[in-house]
Amino acid sequence: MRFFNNDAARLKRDKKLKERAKKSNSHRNEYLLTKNVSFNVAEAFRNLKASISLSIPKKQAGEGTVIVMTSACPEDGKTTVSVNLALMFAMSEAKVVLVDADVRKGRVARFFRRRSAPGLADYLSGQAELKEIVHTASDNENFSYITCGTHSPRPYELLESDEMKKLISYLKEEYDYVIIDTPPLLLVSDALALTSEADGTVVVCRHQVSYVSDIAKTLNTLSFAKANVLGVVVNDYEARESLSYRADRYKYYSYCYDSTAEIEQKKE
Amino acid sequence: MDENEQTKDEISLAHIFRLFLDKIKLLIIVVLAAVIVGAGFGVLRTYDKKYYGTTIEFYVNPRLDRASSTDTESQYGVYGAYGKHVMDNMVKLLSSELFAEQLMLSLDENGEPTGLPNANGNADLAILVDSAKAEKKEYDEAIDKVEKAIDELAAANEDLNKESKELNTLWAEYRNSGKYPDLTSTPTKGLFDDVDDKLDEFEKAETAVNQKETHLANAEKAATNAETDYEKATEKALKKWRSSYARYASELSAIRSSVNYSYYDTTENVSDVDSLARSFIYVKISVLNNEAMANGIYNKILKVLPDFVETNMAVPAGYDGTSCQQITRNDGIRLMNDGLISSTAIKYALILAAVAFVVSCIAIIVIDRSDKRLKTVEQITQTFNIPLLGVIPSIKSEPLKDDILEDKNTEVAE
Repeated sequence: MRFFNNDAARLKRDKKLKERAKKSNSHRNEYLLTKNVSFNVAEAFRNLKASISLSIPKKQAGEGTVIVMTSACPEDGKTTVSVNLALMFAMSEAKVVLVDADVRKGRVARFFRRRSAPGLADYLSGQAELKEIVHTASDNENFSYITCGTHSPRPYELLESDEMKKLISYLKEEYDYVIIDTPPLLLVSDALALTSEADGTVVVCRHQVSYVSDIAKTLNTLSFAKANVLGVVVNDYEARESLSYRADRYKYYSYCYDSTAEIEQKKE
Repeated sequence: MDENEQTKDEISLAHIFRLFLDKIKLLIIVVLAAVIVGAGFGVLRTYDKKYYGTTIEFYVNPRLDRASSTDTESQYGVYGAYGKHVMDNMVKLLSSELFAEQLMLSLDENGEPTGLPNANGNADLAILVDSAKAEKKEYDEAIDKVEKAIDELAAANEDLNKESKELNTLWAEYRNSGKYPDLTSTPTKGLFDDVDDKLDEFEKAETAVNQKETHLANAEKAATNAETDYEKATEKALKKWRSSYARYASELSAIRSSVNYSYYDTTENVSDVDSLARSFIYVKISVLNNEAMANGIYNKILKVLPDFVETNMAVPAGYDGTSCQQITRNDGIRLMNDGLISSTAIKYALILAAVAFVVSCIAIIVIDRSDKRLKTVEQITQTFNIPLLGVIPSIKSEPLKDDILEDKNTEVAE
């Protein structure tokens, strides 16, 4: 049964989201994987990391894996998932760099309480050096990140440029994993400029927010661009059972597998 | 496994059940609200409705007077029963306007005599005539005057014709005598005395005719005015009658709708003297919000109905008449809908709750089917045939604030 026009409903939703964004950011759930995050969340990211690792064929030493993270619409949680996924990779002793390729409206810098400039856009336009834009996390030297930089009027051209290709090649040599956070695919096509350089593309969607038709359009677009779609991540999933109940069920497993807090304690 | 085999457009009972479970609170609230609204509606509909009435039973049977009976079996007194068609006819008669009028003629909504006019033509005409009597009289007098004026005018015209004729004759004599060859055909004054006299008389007659014509015109005008007044008076009387009739018709209708007649006939073999066959007429009175009227109808029925039935019931062959008696002691008019408010409230509450529940269930299903957002993780694999890499649970957290960038104690200060 189709009672509503999906496009109209989606545009209405986006407009509503944008209006709410202007007033406050309360619709966003932004968090970092720390020792205080609940076990089920950490475990979910661990599973995600494992799934992605298994989806991509093993590479030779010195050749990193490039993963592009995209979504259909804004506020599907793509950046949050990208940041925490990168942190999870970093926690497993792999060298990871997170690149904020959303040069229109990147938010990675917020997670690390940093201004976005200088960043990727400044580097690609020749206004910054590489060492200025790559930042290493203070608490984990395996984890580095590149913010989006000064907002550019030509984002697609920047991402498609040879400088970007060279940067990706360099980062592949230096890091085990290069995770690139891109803008929503149905709004802008910036992500398509990077899928050809990536080993895999991951689509992030949000439970009870993303429309199935939008996800379908995104996958079709990626397929048309001959991107290697690894799969879909469902974010902000609300199960029927309460979270606390699920956490209690899985607490048993936390006795067998060390939690993040315990790992850090051991390191100290 | 069954769900996997279903197409994406089909819904399973399990899915529907899950939907209702998810929205159980909403369903309960809707049903409770419907119950409250339904009960309230039921109370509002009936709280001011008081039905006053009672049921009276009359025993009706053919009567065989002992004095006239030679049959030894008649020593048992009155007995017998009427056939179904006879009772049908009697009930129809009681339900008709004829009997209702009898109840109404000495009864109004306060139980007092009304003296209202009824639909009989003679009574109506009498009312009309009586109320417009004066105007009718004036109109008749005006017509008489007109007729009289016409007669007078006719007489004056006749005189005028006579005078004219005499004048013309005299003048013709003078002209035909040959002595006055220059005379015109028209009589003129000053030539001959007798002609002058005739001319005077002619003029007088002419003047009289003019006066009569004027008089006639005035009489006609007066008659027209009288006719108009009479019509107005008649119209006023008619309006009054219509109003009275409307009231009459309304009261008649109220009485007919307040009383219901039925019968119960336990006819058995009439010739069997050991089994007394009985016919019962039940009169059920029910008047809305008017106890006085109910009492009036009740009292009148007790007085009028037995005589009416005895007079109008067909008497079977071999019997002398009909007997109609009230057989149960009746305490008179009482409030009949004591529990109406609560039962009506419950009825409407249940109906509305059922309707609300069904509508809510349908709405839940419709909304769910029309919601094309991602509802389950299985949709990813079923719809797109693509791996599901991970499911990140929902976590409530504060959004990152912009003002943190202004804090000089953070890394931003670099």
